[in-house]
Amino acid sequence: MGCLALPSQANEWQWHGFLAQGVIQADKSNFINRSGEPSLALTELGLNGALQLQPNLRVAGQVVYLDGGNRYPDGLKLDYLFVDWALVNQLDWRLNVYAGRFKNQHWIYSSTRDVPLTRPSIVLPQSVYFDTFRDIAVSSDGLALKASVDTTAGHLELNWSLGATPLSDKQTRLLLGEQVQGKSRQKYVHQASLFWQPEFSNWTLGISLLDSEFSYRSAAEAPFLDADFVVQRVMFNAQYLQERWQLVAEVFQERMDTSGFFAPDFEVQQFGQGGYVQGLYQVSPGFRLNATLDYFVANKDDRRGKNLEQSSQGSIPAYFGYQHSFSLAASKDLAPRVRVQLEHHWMEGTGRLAPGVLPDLVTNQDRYWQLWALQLMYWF
Amino acid sequence: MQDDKAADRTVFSFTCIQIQLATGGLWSCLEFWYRCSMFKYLFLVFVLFFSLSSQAVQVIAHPSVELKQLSPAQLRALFSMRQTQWPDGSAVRVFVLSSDHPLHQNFCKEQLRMFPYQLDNIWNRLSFSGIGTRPQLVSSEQELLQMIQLTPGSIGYSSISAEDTGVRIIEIL
Repeated sequence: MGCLALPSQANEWQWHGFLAQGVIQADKSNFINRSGEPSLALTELGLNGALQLQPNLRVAGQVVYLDGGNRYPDGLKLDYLFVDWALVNQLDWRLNVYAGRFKNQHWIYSSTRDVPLTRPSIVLPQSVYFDTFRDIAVSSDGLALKASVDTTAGHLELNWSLGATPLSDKQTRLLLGEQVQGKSRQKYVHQASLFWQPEFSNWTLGISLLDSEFSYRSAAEAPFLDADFVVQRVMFNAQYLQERWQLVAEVFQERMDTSGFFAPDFEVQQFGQGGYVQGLYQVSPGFRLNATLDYFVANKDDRRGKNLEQSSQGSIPAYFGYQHSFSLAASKDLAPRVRVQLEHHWMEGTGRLAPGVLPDLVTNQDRYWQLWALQLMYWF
Repeated sequence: MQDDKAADRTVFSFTCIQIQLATGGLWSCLEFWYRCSMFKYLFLVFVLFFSLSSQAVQVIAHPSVELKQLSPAQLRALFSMRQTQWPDGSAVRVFVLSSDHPLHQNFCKEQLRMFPYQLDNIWNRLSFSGIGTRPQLVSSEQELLQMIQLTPGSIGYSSISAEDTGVRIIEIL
């Protein structure tokens, strides 16, 4: 009995981390690289720590190094660093305030989308988890609240956040286009979400709302003008859990309003739609299969991109207006904290390939393309 | 509500007596089997299996925890690591066995009414997004009991009778 270690008490650090390396290939597209050759740009490393300062006050932070090729800016990032203040901590309800850089808690996989062991596939459905937007969607600097309530009607979780994410030059080029030389800024992102799990139910249902504004300030010699972008999203999600299998779905409608950029009086508003349905099956302990259908259209009034092609005088092919996919994935635990994951995606359309505003027409010349990835991960 | 529970308990006790009587009537047959060395070990395994599987999982806590009862929802909040303080303000310390341990699986299904992978997912999300921590993992049921005995504010579970071990047994309503 004397040799047993007591758990960490106040003022003691808790550490966790993960290391993952893989190989990935996306032929006929610029998803990873322009050559379409297999790439080792599938590196994810993370180290996090949390310190309980007082019974109701703690601080937590995580540093990650990511290399995803053309999917998102690579390098070392401060993923989150915030103070967590538990304002209410009662048996039937709790309220926490987070101040600093906090993770997005509003979507099913948003808070841990770059933690390999927590996601069902290496590349998440791009309709919702658009990799080009990864840095913007994953965390924000500001203030967030989480309330969770346990009643006879079930468990309710309410999240609210207000903040902004600093945008690097590389992020700006990924979002807008390689030719862009100006600076972009996220003015704010305001989000709220509600998750409800009825008592003794296998269902969890949720809704999330997003409102965000971006600005672009052009460089003096650049061909593109100052611009403002508004992005608003309404998303519903549902999860149905059984012992061996799960169904997960998220669907959204997104309004994107562009003012300026191409001309001083340029003004376009369009509504995109998307979502995915995912089936997960546990074949045996530590061995899981996953099949996912993913759907995205940039403009719900132009689902096959014909207007996009016509309005660009044929320079932008119609398949840049949408991106649908079907994927199969398998993951196997080799040891208690070691997992290997393998997957294949069949894609139609290039609507979720970077850059978003000025697409890469040179590399992405095919309506159909494929993606496969293999990743080995370890965590502690 | 209370009357319903009392009635349930009466029916349960009556069923237990019936089972005991039936078991007693079968004893002579079983004794014959027991004497046959071929069946001796099979019978022991059979008895052991049923005595283990019928053992209810108890929720246990350090005596410093003043609560005697918890609702299933409150228990889920504690083991999901959402609830981190007891009503008196002291810190909650949660101890669990690994997810593939039969007792942990029984506890999840019977008391929490969750699947073990749900808890794993919740703990991973908390610890890798910074808003919470994982429970303390122990390697055996004996160690779990010892940690509950030693750690103020702790909560865990047990399949062996925890009476007279110095821990508090918490009733789940």
